[in-house]
Amino acid sequence: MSNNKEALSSFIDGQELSAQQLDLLIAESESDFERYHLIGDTIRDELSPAFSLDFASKVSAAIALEPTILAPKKVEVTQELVAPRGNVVSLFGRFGSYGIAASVAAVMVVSAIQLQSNQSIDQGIPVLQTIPTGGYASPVSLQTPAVNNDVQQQMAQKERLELQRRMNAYVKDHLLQQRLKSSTSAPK
Amino acid sequence: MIITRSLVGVISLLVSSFALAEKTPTDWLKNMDLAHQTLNFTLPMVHLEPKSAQTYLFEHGVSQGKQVVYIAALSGPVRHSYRVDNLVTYMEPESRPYTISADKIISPSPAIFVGKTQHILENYSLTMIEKGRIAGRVTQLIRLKAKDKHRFNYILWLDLETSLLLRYDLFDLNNNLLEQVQAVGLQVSELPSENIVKLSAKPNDETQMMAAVPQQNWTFSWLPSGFKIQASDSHRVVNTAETVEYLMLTDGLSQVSVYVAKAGNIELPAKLFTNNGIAMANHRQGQLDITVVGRIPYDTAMKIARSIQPK
Repeated sequence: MSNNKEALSSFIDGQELSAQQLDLLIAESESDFERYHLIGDTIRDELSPAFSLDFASKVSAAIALEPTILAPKKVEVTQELVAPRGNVVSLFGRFGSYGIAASVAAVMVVSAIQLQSNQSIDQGIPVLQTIPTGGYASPVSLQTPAVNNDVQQQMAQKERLELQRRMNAYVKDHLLQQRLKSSTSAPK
Repeated sequence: MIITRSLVGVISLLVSSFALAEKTPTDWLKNMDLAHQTLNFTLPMVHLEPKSAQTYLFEHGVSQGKQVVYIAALSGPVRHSYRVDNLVTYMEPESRPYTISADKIISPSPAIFVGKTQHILENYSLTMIEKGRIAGRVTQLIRLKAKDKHRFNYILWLDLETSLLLRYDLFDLNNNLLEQVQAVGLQVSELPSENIVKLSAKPNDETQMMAAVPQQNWTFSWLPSGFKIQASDSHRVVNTAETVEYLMLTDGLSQVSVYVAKAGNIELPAKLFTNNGIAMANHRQGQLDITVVGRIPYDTAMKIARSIQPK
C-alpha cells in the first residue's frame, strides 16, 4: 500500500506509469488521489484563494498533526495511562478536538467584526459580535455583516474575512479548551 | 404564662439572630459546598448573557455512593451533559457524545463555585449584603469583590434554608452585567431522582478524550495574583488549523487561554471583545503572535500577553 502511495504521489508529480499500474492505483487509492493532488497544488501554490478558506481545516483533520516547535527547548514528558471503558481518542487525531469542535461552535458563534455602536462607552473598538442563543445560531459563515463603513473601507474584503476567521477560531478554541483542559488526569 | 411565652420567644429570636450574625461569608461558602455535594435537588434555571437567554434544568443527586450532576438545555436542540463522579460526558447534536475525565461540567451552572472556597477567599473580599428572594425562596446575598483589577466581580444568592446557590451575577469592572444564572424553582427531595439513579448506574462507554501531552516551553515574567498554569499543549486551532503552543491559566473561577503562534501576514487587532465579556488581546513579539483570550479585564489580558517568554 505504501508502495502504491509512493507511485501515486510520483504519478501526480508527473512521472509516467504503465496503464496497468495506473488502473491498480486508481482502484486502490481513490481518496489518496484527491488528497495528493491537493497537497501538490498547495506546494505549488496553485490553490484559488476561495478554496484555501476551507482547505486548511480539512487537511488538518485528515493528516496526522505534527506541531511546529516555536520555542527554543522541548521537554520530553511521559504520560500516565488510564484504562477507560470506552474508546480513547487523541485530541490531535481526526476524531479528536476537530470532531467535537462543532459542539462548541454552537455554544457561542462569533459572527463579525463590528464597530460598537454609539451607545457604548468603548467607542471605536472592534467587537466580536456573538449571536444570541435562545435558539441556536447557525454555524459561522462568511457572509458579509453590516459593518461600519469607516472600518470596512480601510480593510480589503479578503483581509477582513481572514481576520474574522482567525478571531472566531481563537474564541471557539478557547471555549473548546476549557472543556478539554478541565481534565483531572492532565499533568499539572 | 403569657410573659413566659413571650420571653421564650424573645430569647429564641435573640439566639437565632445571634446564630445568623455568627455565620460569616466563609461559613456560607462552606455550607454551599456541602449542600451542592450532598443534597438531592432539581433546579430549573435561566442563563442570561447580553442579547441571549437560555433555559436549563440542573439536577444533582447522590446515588449508590456516586455524585451525579445533570445539566440539560430546555429549549432548542437537545443538548445535555452529565457528570458521574469524575467523568463528564457531553451529548450534543453536532458531535457524537464524548467523555472527559474532569471534576466539573463546563456550562452555565449554579455549581461553578463549589470546591472553590480557597480560591475565592484568596482573590475576593466577601461582604454579606441584604436578603433577597429568588425562585420563591429567601436568599442571602454575598458580594465577591475582586481584591485587584485582574478579575471580574460576582454577587451570589444563597438559599437561607439549604445554602444552595440560586443565582449569581457576573459584572465587569464598570459594573456591566456579563452573565446571570438564576434558578426559577427548587425542589429538594429525600431520594435522588429517577434520572440521577439511571445515570449513576449507566456504564460509561462513550468515547473518552485523552489528556493532552503538555509542553513546557514558556513561562511568564508576570501573572495576575492567584493565576497559575493549569494545562498546556501544542495543538492546532479549530477551523484555521494554525499550529499553536498553548497554555491555560486559571484563578479557580476564570480560564484564560494563551496562544503562541508564528506571526501571520495580517496582524490581529490588539483589542477585541465579545459581547459577553470575553476579551482578546493580541501582541506581536518578534516573529511570534501572542493571543490571550478569556473573561478577564482587557488590560490584564494584554499584560499577560506581554509577559510570556521562552523558558
